[in-house]
Amino acid sequence: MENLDILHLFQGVETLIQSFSDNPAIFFGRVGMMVLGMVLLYMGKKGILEPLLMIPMGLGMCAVNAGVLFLDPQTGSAIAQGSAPLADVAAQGQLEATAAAGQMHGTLMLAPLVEKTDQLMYILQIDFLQPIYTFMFSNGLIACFMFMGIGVLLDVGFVMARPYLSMFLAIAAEFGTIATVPIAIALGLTPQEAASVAMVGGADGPMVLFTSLTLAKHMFVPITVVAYLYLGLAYGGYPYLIRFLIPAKLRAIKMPPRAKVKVTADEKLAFAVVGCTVLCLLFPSASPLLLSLFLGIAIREAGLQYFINLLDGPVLYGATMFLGLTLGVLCEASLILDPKVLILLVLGIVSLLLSGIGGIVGGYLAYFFSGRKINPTIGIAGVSCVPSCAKVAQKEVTKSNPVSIILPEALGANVCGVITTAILTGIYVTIFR
Amino acid sequence: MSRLRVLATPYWAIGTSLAFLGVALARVIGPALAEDAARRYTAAGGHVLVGLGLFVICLGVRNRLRAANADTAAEPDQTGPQNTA
Repeated sequence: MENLDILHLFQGVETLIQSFSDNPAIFFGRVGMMVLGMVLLYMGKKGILEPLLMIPMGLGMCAVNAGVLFLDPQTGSAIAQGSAPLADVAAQGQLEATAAAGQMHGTLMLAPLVEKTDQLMYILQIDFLQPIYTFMFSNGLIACFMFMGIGVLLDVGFVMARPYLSMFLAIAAEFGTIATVPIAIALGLTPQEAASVAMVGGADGPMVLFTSLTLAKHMFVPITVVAYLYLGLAYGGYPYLIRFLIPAKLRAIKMPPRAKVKVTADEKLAFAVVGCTVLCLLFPSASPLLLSLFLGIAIREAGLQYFINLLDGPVLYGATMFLGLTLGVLCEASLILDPKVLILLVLGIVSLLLSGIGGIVGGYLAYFFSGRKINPTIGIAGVSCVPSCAKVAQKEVTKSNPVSIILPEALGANVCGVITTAILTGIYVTIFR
Repeated sequence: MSRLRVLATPYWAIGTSLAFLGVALARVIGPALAEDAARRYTAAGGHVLVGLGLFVICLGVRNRLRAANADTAAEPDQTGPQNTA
């Protein structure tokens, strides 16, 4: 009993203290991530950030950085031998020796770097989130599930009734997605990494996930975390951008009267069929996402109520919860402390900001070209975070003029933004793959 | 079948044809060209044509809505207050 190390009973604390002496960056990273997780959770609860994503993500970040332990020799060896070997042979040898001695730090949640089949099969039986990661995350299935759910919520009739306005605003709001690529390349990222981080400007989480998994798999964890973090911020930050760039007098403009006759379900269904077929022919690399989105739209327009209930409930919200949780668990300090993360943080916010500004400039152009009839606030809805950006635009307009309704036009731009971002994803994947 | 009559307009036919022509240019004809510049321009033209095709379809729907709304507006209002004098 006198040889009992009391710290060894509390391995989360022991690994934390050991990392302080071995690698202080990891120590501060773990503590910082735990604090950040708590802050995200708090901001999600307060409604400043998107709670559906931030609450599981924040808790996951706290738990994964707190729950580091000494992996048993078999599990440690499976991770050390199953991952891509380190460039330094001596470092790889030392890692394997540490693992064999039962001194390797790790968690029982996820081992995202394991690639080899035998070791992966073993880890699948140990880490509780590994099946979700391997079978849903790394192949993009979770992004496709989210797109099916989003597709069910989308009404393409808004786009079809106002094609000029919707398409113009959606293209204007892709400014950040396009302009960030050369900026990122100038900052030293590869074209694949640049394209992946530029997609943050599209404000479409599944698209960022898909692009980074396809083009820059080694960077997809930080890129996706940055993307979802900023998507939450867009919800809280875009209102300030609107108030800063659009005076209250213009925000209060009432839109011209709307048509009473609506687009029929048959027209929407036919549009979904033609759009899906043509876009899949054009961008086979993005066809899983395109199919998922248009499948959701087709199910909605065909009125398949059982499928609608399945997709807009369990599938969409289940995928969102596990996406948030998996992203949080991926934020382990040793995994995310990459020198490029700071650049990604800067580029992500630049991309999102430029897209917002592009959308508002588009809104101003629409305002002038329409003879000052169109409310310029709808420009922000061209950023394709459905339906958050449309809701943000309507909320800001309502504050200036409670009887002004811009939601239908804003949703048209918003839906068209999703399609435009999907097309841009296809173009990037095709060009840079 | 009568509900599908709204799809039997020149806009749908022209838009769909343009979109598929764009795909053919971008994915079939473009890659088969020998010259690099021609290949790029053909592919880019194909992408634009696909967008244009989808846009023409939307334009057709918008025009149908406008025409239908003009008819609705021209009809006497049946729901307004009636003269009972």
